[in-house]
Amino acid sequence: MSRPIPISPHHFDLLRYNREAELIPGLPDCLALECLIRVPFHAILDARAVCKRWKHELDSPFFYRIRRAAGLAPCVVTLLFRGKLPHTVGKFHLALYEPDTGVFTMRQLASNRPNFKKGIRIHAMVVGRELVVIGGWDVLENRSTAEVNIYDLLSGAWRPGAPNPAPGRTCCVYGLKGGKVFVVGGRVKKLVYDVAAYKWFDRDVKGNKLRSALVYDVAADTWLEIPDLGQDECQGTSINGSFCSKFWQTREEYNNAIQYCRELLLLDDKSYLRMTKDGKEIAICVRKGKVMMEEIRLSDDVLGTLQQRGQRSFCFLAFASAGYFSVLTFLLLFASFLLPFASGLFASAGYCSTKSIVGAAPLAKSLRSAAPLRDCVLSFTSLSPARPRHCRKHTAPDARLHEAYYSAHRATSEDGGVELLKKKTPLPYRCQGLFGCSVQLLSCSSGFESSPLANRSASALHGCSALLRLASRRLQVYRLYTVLY
Amino acid sequence: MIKLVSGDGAEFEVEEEVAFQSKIIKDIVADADDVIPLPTVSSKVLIQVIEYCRKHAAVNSFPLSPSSSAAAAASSSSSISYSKPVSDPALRAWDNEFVKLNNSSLFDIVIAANYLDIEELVDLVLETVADRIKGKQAQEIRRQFNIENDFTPEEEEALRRENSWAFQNN
Repeated sequence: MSRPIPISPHHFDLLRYNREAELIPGLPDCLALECLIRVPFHAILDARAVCKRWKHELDSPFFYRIRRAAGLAPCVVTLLFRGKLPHTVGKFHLALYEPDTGVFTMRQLASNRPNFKKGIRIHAMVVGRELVVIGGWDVLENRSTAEVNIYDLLSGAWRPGAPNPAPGRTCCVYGLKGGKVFVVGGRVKKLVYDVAAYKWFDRDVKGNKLRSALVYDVAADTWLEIPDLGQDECQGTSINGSFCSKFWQTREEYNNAIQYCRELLLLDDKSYLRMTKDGKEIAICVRKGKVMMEEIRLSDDVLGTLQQRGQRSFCFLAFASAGYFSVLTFLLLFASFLLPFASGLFASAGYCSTKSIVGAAPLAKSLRSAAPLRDCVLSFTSLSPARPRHCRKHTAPDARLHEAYYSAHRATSEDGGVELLKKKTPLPYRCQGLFGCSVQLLSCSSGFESSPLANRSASALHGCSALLRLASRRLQVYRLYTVLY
Repeated sequence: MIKLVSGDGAEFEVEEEVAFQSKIIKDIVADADDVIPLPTVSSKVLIQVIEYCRKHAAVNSFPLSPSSSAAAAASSSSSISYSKPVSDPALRAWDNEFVKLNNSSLFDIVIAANYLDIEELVDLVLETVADRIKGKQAQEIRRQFNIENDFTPEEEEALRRENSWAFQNN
């Protein structure tokens, strides 16, 4: 007869654990902890309220470290939006979507936070596990506020941040590498009263483009100014928390890169193109003095690549409207969601190596033909101070965007988008009118499971079409973020 | 055959490949006729663990036997991988049936599986428990796992406020 299995010191601890302090009665703590790290992100908020011990455990950074280390931290897509229904109007909501499990949950942000109280024009981004909200339009004083508030996505707690030293700049705000927020470029604006609209508007002051950037370090709670970026009107987009932390060092470097992309994408010289240094995002604007649609088509190989990437790949198609002169801008963004490109700039250019760029309708057609494409995020973005009245003028582009939107939905939903078409759902595109804020639409082919929310409320957030309806009709969607926990 | 002796003295004879689902038994077994005492595992739990191991040993050994893998290769030209047993739908269904137990039985199994180092079984049970936590409100979780609520009413109210969901009154 062989010896009994030796009891390891670790196991010995298990045998004499204190039953009083157990996380889950009957289960040793180390196993209970292993169990808790398997709880999906959306259930953590509820689990925190179980008892002090759980709350303590679920709030500790250690918990998330081991969760990440165990590979149990799924990607979370965060969507910030404003309600449009009577009882939710003006209230900010946060939607969390976990692509891995397909669960979509929502929570309402405390509307008494100063930023939200003061309404629109907030800049927000997710840094780590926190949502950083910068600015907001103070209706009473008719100016931007300098306030910074930080919301912990996991604990649901708010904390104030150091105030923005330059609240007035109309800029793009992007997050960040290493827990930092970039407030990039922008212009100094002056207020102009529009007689026709009975409203105050900001207006660009010529020559006041800012070449500087601000960096807000979330962890250190400090602001830092980067004096000269070497180019006017820096813009960039952040997807998956990565942002070009460096801008183009020189004009030549930038121009060379632009020239390369122009040749690659067969753009003429009049079109305007800009990109971020790491090449994850490329923006294409067309400036011809009037409203023009630059046509966009996804080549088959791009779609093929996307399909291959399956669930993990997200396709960002963003249409942006830019500039005071109502020039429509098309921003084509492709981001590998979880698998960052290592090879820099032109890896991405190759990823969207379209032979030619043709229209929203063909784009939709391509999407339709790519029906198995899963978890496609289609987003309509405004990166710039476009106003609602401007948008309304562009009926033709609107119609085409509608077509793209419906078609994309038909391609990716099971009911073929019939319901959506019947109701002629207005595009969320119209809801914009916010400086620097993006209006984005999230669509997903793989359907959403019912969430605890859906059980509790009559508003069934069940299924993709429900989400789309929600996104377009009830909500003013601000921005889309991704967080990895 | 390997003889396993539970904490209450019952003896169980199991085949080698079944016992070797447990890494720790695999490590300590010297010869084929070993008797292994498992003082912390009761016979009730051991029966269930052996049942699980038997099922998984049968499925896991499938690609290893040369005749069956040759048959699989002959029957289908497309390469079907049997290397991941959990991806087998039949086995997964069996697993799902297996874990339909109350919490305390599950806990006993996972403690035994942890002791015997049967990784798949630990994963399976912990995931099941995590599933029972998710999608429930704090009150339901407390009731299910018999956890005492040690928050003061004020603290609970604050937590509830933080935890308020959108469209609750819809």
